[in-house]
Amino acid sequence: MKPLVKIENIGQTFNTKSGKFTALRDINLDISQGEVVSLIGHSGCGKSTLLNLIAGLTLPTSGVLLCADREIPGPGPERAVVFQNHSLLPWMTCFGNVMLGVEQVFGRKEGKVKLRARVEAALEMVHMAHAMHKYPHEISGGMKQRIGIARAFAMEPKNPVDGRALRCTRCPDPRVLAG
Amino acid sequence: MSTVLALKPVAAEKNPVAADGAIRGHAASAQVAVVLAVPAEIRPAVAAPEARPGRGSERLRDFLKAVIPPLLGLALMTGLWSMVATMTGNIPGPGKTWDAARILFADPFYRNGPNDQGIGWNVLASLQRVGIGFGFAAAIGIPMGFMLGRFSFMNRMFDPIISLLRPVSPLAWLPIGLLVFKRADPAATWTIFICSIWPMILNTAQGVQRVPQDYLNVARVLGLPEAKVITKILFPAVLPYMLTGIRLSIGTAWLVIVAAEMLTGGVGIGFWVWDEWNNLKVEHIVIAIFVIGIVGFALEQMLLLLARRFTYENR
Ligand SMILES: Nc1ncnc2c1ncn2[C@@H]1O[C@H](COP(=O)(O)OP(=O)(O)OP(=O)(O)O)[C@@H](O)[C@H]1O
Ligand SMILES: [Mg+2]
Repeated sequence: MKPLVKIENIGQTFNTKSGKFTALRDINLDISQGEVVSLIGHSGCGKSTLLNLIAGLTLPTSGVLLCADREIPGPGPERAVVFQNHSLLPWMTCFGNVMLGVEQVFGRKEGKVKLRARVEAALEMVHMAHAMHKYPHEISGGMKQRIGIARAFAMEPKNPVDGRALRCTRCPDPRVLAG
Repeated sequence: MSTVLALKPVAAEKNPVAADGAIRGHAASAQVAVVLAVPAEIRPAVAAPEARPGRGSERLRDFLKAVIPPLLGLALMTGLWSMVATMTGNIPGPGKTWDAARILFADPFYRNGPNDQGIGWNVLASLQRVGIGFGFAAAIGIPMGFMLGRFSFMNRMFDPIISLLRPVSPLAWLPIGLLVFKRADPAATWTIFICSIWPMILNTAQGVQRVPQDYLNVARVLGLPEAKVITKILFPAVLPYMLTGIRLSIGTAWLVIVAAEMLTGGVGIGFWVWDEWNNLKVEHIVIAIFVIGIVGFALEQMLLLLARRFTYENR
């Protein structure tokens, strides 16, 4: 099968106060549709750096990243991200946080009822439906991670980019996140 | 020997009341099932005090602890005040001031012509000036703060202007106001505008610069359009900073209005103070000091309350 995401000779260097710091060098990776890829490595080895590149939040200093044969120009809802530090908006309930993404992707095509159903289904998937009207500061760290997962999956992305340290969460869907 | 305590969340559907904080524990090795049904507001670690007797007396002690020091402070102030009053002779003491205040507040809203109105009207007139000047400052300062925070070019462009003008006493602008508006009343409002606008701009700009990158990354990944970034992310994130700016502005505005009104005359608490000085009613000046203090305190508390309402983390 043809790969959906192609990563070719990626390098990433950061300019720091103490000079250049090479975080990634010559990374090659192909990911096909439906494939599950786990990046494993010790803390600080560059996992999040690579995920940020795939997400399009940062641009590489060398090499190319392709998604569906096109260079990744920036972030987009087809590449959802579960952020390592959850990044839920504190002024919205769990429901509101997931809805923000759902509205953005499906808001133009679907009615209110359908959007609500999508959000509720995503929260149900991570077993968080009972807490959907709570605010992020009212739930635990693992629960926040689960809301972040729900937000990413509710957008039905081509490939969700999951930047969490896996130990943070009880894995809600082993098929997608195991490993 | 070690004890394993397995904590399970109580099923939400079965017991909606306990679902928030209640946990159920099983002390596995001891073969005793310990059920901790802890109310939501008490965390397991601090559940012990519940068993302690005498909660009523504890509450009374807390209350006294909170109330006695401020009362002592006020008593000390009153004591010093009466001491100074008896020593100097021409400053009215607490008793005399109290009697004058009783007469004054019996009818705070009377009107005998433009220069003789009740203290209530004077306070309201000052508040109105502060409100108008401050409103204009907010209408201009907040959008400007957003621009300065968002575009570093603008920030660097306006930085020398703001740095130069901000330390100037707003009263120095009063003659310019008189020249432009030709009347005393808008000139006083103009000084309020000038002193309110700086904290608004600077705090809003700082708030915009401090919006966590994480939130902006969320916006980028979700692909939110600029309008939604502003309403759903920037505005709520900046709001606490904006409210700090508003609080500082109102604080200085209330300081400045008294001085401005002393210079411009008309109706207003500052003018009233000057008028009573001309009438040599010193006890009224002391009352005015208290009134100004209480109104300023009330404004500050109102805005603090508002700020607390819109602070999201650690609420
Ligand atoms: N913006 C940056 N500027 C400078 N150095 C950076 C920057 N971001 C990351 N680094 C460095 O790059 C390396 C990789 O960081 P990264 O966040 O990708 O680690 P990680 O593998 O995700 O670690 P963890 O498992 O702890 O999340 C680290 O040594 C870090 O110090
Ligand atoms: Mg990481």
